[in-house]
Amino acid sequence: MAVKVQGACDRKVPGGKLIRVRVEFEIGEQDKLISVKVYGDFFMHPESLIEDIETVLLENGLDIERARSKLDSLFKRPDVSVFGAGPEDFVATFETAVADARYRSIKG
Amino acid sequence: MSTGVEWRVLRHERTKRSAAMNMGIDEAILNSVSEGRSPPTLRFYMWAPTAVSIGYFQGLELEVDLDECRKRGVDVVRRITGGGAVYHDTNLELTYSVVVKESSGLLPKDILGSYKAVCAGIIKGMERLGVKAEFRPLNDLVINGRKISGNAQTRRQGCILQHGTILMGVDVDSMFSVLKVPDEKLRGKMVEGVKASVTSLKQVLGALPDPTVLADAVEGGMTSTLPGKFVHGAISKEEEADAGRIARERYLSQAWTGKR
Repeated sequence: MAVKVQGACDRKVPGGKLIRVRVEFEIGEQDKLISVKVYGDFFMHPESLIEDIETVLLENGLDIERARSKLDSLFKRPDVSVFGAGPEDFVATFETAVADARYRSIKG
Repeated sequence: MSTGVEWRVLRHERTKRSAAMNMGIDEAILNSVSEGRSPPTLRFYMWAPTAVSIGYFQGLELEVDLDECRKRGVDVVRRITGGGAVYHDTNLELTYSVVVKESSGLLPKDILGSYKAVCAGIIKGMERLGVKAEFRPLNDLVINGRKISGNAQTRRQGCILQHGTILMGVDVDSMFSVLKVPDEKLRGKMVEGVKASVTSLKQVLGALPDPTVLADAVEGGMTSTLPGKFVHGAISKEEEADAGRIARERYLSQAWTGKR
């Protein structure tokens, strides 16, 4: 039977802003990400980029290299500017939130 | 600096506004400047009641103790600009906003450059009060390394909106009665950290400044650093109505405030 677990990570980017990721996982025969929320005090133009980042992580999060390359492409879009955090910071915070969820699932 | 451009200056003196209305007015000005109905605008404002604003990308419940806000009668609003949570004390903060068309050439096109240009006006204004502040990228002003002003910007409809705070005084304990900290176990340490890293004009000058004197100084600073002529004006009836509608439909709606 699948078990739902949540994971969290807050990460202050050195010299930058705070990224906060919350994930929800279904752990079973095949692990499944159910939700990914990304929060923080960074600046992003256009603002809708935040939803694109969440979608990339939700759809590709279990293949971290794929997620990383998709985020890199998002951040390179000519209309995009982000201050206070880079794509690698979002990936790292997300990875730790996922690890937190897995740890909680083991801990029960 | 003088060019043919005329700015409108809106002053804070007559009324302090609610958080929803303050944000509604900034957005209504953005709409009217964008559509060419209003000139570039520098606005000063204050808040009543005391309010917390959170950045566009922040999680409401991660940042704000909503029960405590209700208990204390503190307004809560989500901004259209990024950045962090801000505690807007009804007596201790003067807030400003600047709205210009991106194509006006009044501010640099690049984001860092435009923050710097607006903040240069505030720095000049503080100089008039005998206070030496510095710009700390991306969006802060500091005095001897301690934050005195936070600023946030968005670009929409071909316009730049930058708003920011100037701390006349600071009450960190009240601030953290409504703001959450990332790790409750470290609350005491974090609050002490903020006390050490934030300052106010009261701390620097030895007395709480009169907001009118501060606004005069900052307006003078902007006049000397930004191109154009600054003329006192009023919010138009159209903007006021638009602001009321935006406040109701956006800033007072749970769908917006709790959107993240």
